[in-house]
Amino acid sequence: MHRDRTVTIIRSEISYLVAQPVFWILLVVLGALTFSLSPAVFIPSESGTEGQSVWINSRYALLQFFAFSGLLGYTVLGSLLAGISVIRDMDSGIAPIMNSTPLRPSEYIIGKMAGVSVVLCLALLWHIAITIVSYEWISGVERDLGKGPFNLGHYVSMGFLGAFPGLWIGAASTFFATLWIRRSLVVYAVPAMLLVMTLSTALVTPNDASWSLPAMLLDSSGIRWMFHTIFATDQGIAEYNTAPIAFDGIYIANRIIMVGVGLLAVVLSIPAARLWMRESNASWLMKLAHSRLWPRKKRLAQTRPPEQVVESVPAMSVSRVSRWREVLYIAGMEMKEAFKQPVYFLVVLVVIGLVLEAANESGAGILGTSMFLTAGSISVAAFPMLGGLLCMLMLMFVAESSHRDKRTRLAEIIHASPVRSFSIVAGRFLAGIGFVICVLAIVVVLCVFQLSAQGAEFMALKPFFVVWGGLLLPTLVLWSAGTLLIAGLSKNWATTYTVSLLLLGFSIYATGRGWVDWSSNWLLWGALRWSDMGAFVQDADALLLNRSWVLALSALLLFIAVMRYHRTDPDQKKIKALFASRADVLKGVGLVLIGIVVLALIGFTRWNVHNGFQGERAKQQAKAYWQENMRTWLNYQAPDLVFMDVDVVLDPVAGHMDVTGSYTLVNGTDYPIHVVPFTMPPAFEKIGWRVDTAKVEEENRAGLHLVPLDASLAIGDTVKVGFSYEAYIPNGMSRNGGALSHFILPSGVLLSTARGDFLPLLGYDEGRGISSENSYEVADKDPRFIHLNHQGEEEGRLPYLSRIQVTVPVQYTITATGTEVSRSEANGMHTVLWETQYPVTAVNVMAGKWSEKKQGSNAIYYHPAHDQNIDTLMDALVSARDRYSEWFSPYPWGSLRINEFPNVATTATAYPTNISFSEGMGFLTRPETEGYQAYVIAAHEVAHQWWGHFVSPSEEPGSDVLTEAMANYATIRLLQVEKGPEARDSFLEWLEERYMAERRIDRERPLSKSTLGSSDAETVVYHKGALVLWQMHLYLGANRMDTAMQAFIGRYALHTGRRPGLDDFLAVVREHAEDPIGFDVFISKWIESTGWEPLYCADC
Amino acid sequence: MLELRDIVKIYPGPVAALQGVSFSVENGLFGLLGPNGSGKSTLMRILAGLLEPTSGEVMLDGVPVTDKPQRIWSQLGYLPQDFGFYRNQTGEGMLKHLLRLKGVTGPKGLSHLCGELLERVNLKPAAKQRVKAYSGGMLRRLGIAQAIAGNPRLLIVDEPTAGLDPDERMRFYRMLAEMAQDRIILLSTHSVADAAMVCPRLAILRKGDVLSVLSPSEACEKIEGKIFEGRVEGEAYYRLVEQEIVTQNYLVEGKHVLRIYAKDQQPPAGFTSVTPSLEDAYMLIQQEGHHA
Repeated sequence: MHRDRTVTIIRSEISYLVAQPVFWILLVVLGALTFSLSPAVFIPSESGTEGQSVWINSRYALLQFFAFSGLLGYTVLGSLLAGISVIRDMDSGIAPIMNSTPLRPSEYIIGKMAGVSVVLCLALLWHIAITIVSYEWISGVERDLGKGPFNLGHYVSMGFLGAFPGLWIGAASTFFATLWIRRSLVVYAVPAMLLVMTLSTALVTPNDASWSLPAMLLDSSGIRWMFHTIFATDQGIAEYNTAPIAFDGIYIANRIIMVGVGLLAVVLSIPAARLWMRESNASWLMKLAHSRLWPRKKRLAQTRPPEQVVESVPAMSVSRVSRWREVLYIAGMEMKEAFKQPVYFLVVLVVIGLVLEAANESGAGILGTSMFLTAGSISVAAFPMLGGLLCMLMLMFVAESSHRDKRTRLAEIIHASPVRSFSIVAGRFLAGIGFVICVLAIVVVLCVFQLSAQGAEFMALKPFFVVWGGLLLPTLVLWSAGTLLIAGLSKNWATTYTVSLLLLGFSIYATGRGWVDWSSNWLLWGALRWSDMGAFVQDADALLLNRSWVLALSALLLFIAVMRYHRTDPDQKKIKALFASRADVLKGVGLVLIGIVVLALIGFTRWNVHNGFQGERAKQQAKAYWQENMRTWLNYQAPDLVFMDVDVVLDPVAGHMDVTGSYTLVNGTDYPIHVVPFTMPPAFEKIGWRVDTAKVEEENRAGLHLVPLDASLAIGDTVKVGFSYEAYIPNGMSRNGGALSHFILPSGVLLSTARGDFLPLLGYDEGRGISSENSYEVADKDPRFIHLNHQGEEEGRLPYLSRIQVTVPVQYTITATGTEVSRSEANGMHTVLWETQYPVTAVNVMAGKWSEKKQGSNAIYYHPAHDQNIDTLMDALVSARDRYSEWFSPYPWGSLRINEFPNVATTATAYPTNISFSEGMGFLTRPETEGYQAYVIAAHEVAHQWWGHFVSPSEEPGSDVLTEAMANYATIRLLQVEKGPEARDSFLEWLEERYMAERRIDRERPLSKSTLGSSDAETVVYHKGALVLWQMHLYLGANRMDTAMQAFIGRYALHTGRRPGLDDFLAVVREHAEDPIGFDVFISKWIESTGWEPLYCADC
Repeated sequence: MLELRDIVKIYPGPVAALQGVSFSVENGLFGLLGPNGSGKSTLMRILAGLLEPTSGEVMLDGVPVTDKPQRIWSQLGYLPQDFGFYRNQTGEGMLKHLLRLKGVTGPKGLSHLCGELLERVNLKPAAKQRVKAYSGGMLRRLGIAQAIAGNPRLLIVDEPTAGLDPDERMRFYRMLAEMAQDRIILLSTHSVADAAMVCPRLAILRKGDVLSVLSPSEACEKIEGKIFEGRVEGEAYYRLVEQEIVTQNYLVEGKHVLRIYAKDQQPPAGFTSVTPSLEDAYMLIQQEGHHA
């Protein structure tokens, strides 16, 4: 190898690449990633209870930061640089000249790749430098994290270890593929697919064991290895901050594989360079294939003897081609060109594979459940993946299509032909849309096959048409128009790719940060929820507006793209008169008109979002409520509600309710009461108040209605306060779709006292108007001050009796808290009255177009197509009710129901007698073979009838164990008795797995101090709590445990008016323990400390 | 009639590519003759509506087309100097696509017309081959086929025979001659022999200026009796090249042969009068332009 020649190539390469816009854009992107990505995004625990926090400049933090930012930054842009380096030589036609010089292919390849490597290393050094500046001197994103001593070695070593192997293999493989395939398409296709596949391998691939090792070895970023090892379970902040990283053989092998495969790609590029420099059209492989597999037909003669050739001009005529025919001709040719590019087929295969994977992921439900796939759930679950990938595919298509004429040098012939500029642009646009529709059609067919494997009843096409046709296509239309415009303005394919990818990346980033709403979310990511009970009814208006402005904006961009499509090179010296011709004026007017439509649609959407229930107006109203009332009414003790009488008329199609009713109140305070405060949500309109029978005028303090009493209410006296109002629920447009906690929709109704917008809330609502700006810590988080916030077992809501009458159209079935007392029907509406004979602390009302399954006084109301698990759910409902009655206490209310509601929220909530169950929970869970999940969820919710309602715990720390942990404990016992020890152990193992994965060592508090509300406490209460109660069960024995719980319920049941804490429960159990001292040791170990050794989970 | 009125084109730099070109062209073949860099291709691109002039006006049959190039595109057949096609399409498929866009069809349909056009450019046997397998000459012939399609009112061909073998070149010129009877054909070339063979009128360009617009015979008549040819050796050669107006200078059997222009019809010793050729006239015009 000749050193000087190689060095010349290296120098030339470096000077060329650093002058490319892509290089500078890469530097900007790396800087932006440094300032925007969380420095400890993958580290499980960021801060502890003792004030310690993760250091952003620790080895762990830097490794994961450089791995992730490197993956996002270099995979496409770094690889693009490598591809540009090759393709520029190919486009310039320099091969024969190079072949005539002494330059060897090996010198060429080594020189080129060395140049690329030097430039990418320069970028990496900049990346490291900007990170040092950002972390050490500038306080940026989430810099409330800690910072350790500065160590340059950590930055450099973790930078190169985390980012270089991924950067190298991306660049080398793109270099290799471009040389062998010799298409500019490859320069983008290879890195784009590498990015998608690496992200998928690192972050999305299923977590099961069979995938772990290959994924860890093949993930070029190394992030997958981190998830499986150093971040699999929380190691503690001290470990993350100071300890060296324990790299194992898998990580080292992964790094060696990446660098080695990259080197191999470079070496294998040498024969490709040799073929190219000799201007050989085919690789040896292709030649072999042609000669052996598809022998070439005898070569056709290319010319005839001159005397046989006719010279006269043939007869022909010309007619003006219609505009749309031209568009179709252009589109047809573009499609033909695309279908002749094998690279597209490879990319499409990857797209299809990833989308089907994402579709399968929609089958993963809560509690590790495996759900039945439905056409709707698949189409919504795969929406982001499909949308993102099709945008990337579309970019490839549009960029290639827009620059093909120039690259093939056909542009001048086309431009001098009578074809209209509109037709050229619109034809390409249409071809791009047609191309992705073909891909969509293939994906739909494959998805339908997948659905059909579950049974004929799951096969449906309509959801695919609605979601991928009606909602996804406008996104692709906008993207196509936008990329066409970018391609037209940039006149350069590399700039087209780079600018478009930056736009797409920023849109995804903005969506992830929650910056978008219906007026800006063109990708529609995070905005869709599917329900088989009624598709998108909750956001129908918002979707219509969103898709309308997206399409209008597409038209505007397309219009500009046509206007900016220059077939005639403009003269730089000429001063152009604005609107010089009538056509210019018409174009200008058209542009302004479309622009006005776009702005009007976006403005109207934004206005609706602003005024919607999640918009700025609602926030301001809530803040005003807090501001005007907090100081006066926070600790006000309102009279007690003893009887609720409500009459609700529902119109699900309009989303409307009309409410009249009354609260019977008793003055349980030790002072006379003159006014009664009620919190009224902003959705309530036409509000009227009565005291006993007389109408009164309230004082409205920003939503807190002060209802005056004629005469003061003496201690112990009773008054009836009546109210009437109407409301639309939800009230206006959401911000960006997502879940709803209460709603009146054509697909179903869910209203409850626990979720706000149903009935007047007695007193001041402490949570209303609280945001990150004015939130405050409760002293109970500090163990030294628990006594200050422990207001005793008598504090809190008192139970009441209820009478709820609901009127809805006859096609809806109604359920409400209580037992059905009467039913009547008139004028297409039916009215049902529900009453409680035993007090409650919360009520709900539900309605839907349901089927019904009854067994005694138990019933399940469900969507007619969701009957797959009805028997299981009914089994769980009946057996849980019977067993819990036997173990804990007889069931106090007359009836018990499970009601399915649309998947606008994925929750299950137990109200007395009336459990609400999302369709995304248990109804579509796959059969029992996969672990009794439907059974478990139902058993858990039924247990809340006792643990949460019959016993209503206080709000002191640890009390949540008496609801959620107890419900899981009850479920463990039920599984043991009804399904056997294997089912019980499987559930115990799952609980422990979750706890080990989700616990945060430095932030974890003992069970006795844990309160739901923070994500850290959730796993402690739900999972560890259940495991501890089960250990208690084993320690005491079933009989003593039953006796203790029955005694506890007897002492603290709802009718006693007492609200127990965890201490009260433990005190009762201690009374029944055989060895109270030993029990104290048990409490100290399991409930008052945080340590844990795995008991059931072998792999934890 | 095609009229060019004071066409000026200045590129950033500034570089004056055309410095006020004016002439008119009637039906028939019209040649643009000039050395490299004389502005032929710039002028061709302006006429094809692909390049906006800095100033000046182009009129086709009395209709101004400079600001509205679409007026000319519907009547234009264009073969640029440097062009290509979609490599994955067949020659027939590519031609069919271009004909569709131009709205061209034949009495027996588009496919038949395509076949006929390919026949005329001797590409029929290669019609089903992909363009990427075509040689440079085949590509040029396919370009010619698309340019002549639709009997355009104005046909602009820029260096059309580059890469064609002599037979193909002659056939193409015969076809142009046939077509030129009822349309304007602008042929740009730097081959004086080609221009002399096919163009009844031509414009000679140099550095963005039109030096002369005339027919080959007019050009030759002007120098009739003033061109002399002789063989020289050694010092005499260098002296004559220095002193005389040399129109052609070539070697025959290793000896210098000079053709010189003697305005006063007083040739150097040993030189005899010969029939002037277009090349003599062309070189003389170029030199006079240079001296001017």
